[in-house]
Amino acid sequence: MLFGDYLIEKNLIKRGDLLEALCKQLAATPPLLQVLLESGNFSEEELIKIVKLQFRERAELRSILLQKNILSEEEMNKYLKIQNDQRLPLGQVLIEMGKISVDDCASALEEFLAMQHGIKIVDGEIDLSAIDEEEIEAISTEKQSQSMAVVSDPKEEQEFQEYLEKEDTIESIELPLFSFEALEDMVLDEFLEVFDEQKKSEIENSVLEWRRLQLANQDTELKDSFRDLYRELHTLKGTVRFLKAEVSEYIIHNAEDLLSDLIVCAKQIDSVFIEELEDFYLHALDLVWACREDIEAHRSEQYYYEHSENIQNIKKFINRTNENKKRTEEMMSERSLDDIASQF
Amino acid sequence: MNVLCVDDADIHLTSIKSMLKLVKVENFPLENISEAKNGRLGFEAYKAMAQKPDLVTLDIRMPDLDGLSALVLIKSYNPSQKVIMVSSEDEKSVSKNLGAAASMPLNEKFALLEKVASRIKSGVVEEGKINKMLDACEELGVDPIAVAEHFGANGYLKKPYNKERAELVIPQVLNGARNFIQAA
Repeated sequence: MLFGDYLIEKNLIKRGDLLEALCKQLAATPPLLQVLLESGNFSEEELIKIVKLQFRERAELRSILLQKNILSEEEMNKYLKIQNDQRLPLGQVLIEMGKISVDDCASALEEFLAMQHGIKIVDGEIDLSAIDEEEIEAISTEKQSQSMAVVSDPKEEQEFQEYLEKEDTIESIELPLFSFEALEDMVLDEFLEVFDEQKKSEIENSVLEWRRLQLANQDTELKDSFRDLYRELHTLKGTVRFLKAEVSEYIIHNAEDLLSDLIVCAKQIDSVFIEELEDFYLHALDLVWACREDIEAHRSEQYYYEHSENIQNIKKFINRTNENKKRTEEMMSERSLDDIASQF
Repeated sequence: MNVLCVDDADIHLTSIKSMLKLVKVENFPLENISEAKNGRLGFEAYKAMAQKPDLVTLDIRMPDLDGLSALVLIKSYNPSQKVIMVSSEDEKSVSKNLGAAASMPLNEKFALLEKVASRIKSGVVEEGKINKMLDACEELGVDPIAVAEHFGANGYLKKPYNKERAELVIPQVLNGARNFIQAA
């Protein structure tokens, strides 16, 4: 187990935090090319030639260096170690990101080291008496091969690349320019009353029924459940529109819009997609609930919206909406005119 | 003027009542506003009224029976009843590209809608079939407002209610305008 996985297992960070931290860690690590240049063993001209070759062969830098016998395995490991030594520790990145406190990270690391490698921390220092040199060497070799495996596994690299592309797509999403007009006092209390804890949990419970309905092939019931949620969201959207709560309206509108497509193709939804939909709608509900909490506390959505993390969450939600829409559009195009007419 | 307002949301019923109190219509001073919480209850209340209202407002999306289905029932019971549809958004969002449904000619879609309407009028619910007008609009990807017009509604008001828009629509409907009235 790696330290990042341990932190997730202990519920100290979320998987998304780990991915973000790994990206930051990677971004802060000098590229291998820079390590080679700084070693003084290669001139800029030599490295330019190597990079050109890399482009022509469309290969990884490491493979080129090994294949063309520019570096031996041993030398390569030496440079990779130099590169690795300059990598920021994951815990430090997470602390700097504000995802974990210093104390939590320190005690988690202590537990992790004790559990994984039998290393004890005494008075903030590693208990040297407990270290078996051979064991450490074995761990180090294992870690090195793991980190090599991580870096050179094409599937993982592809997934990582896809992750980065997704992050770019999310970043490029443009949210509307909300004007944050004063909320309509007349309906504010009514809104808080209509959309209360009980309503939220009713909606959650109905969403959590979807998987069971899909599994039991109860298409009509699933369709009806989508319709019920559509109506709930529609009414809620009307209310927040009265209230002039634009952020909530925007989120609800997107969630509602997708639902109108889902109603139509409920029969075609498979077990994987229904899981995504359950999660998606629970997430949407959490976003609107966060806005509601802000409205209750500050009589405005502006405080909520000023936090970059919340803006990012809305962007992620919109990106997910778009991805789910693409899927439903594909399903809708698979319907034939006879399928449609037969329902009448 | 006597009005029957049908809407499932209390907040919207309160709001339409406040607005109706502000709207001035010549020869139609406001007398009474009745309310019902869904299409079915609305139609039952309507039938039970000894004196039929001057105007019925029907929310489009409601539980149990939607506003379009209620429109079909009311117009079948009394074709001269003035009805204004209301909704909290431009319901055109329902009428979008729905894959295969997009290639179906509009007259065929309306023929299928007529099938549903005739089932509603005769009180028949067919298992496994579409039995409500709004559900049919969603399946076919047609604009519910256009459907309301086709099935005899006299006008359309968009929520949130606004006195100026209402004053453009309600007087014309009450004074017997022949065309479908909606304010942009």
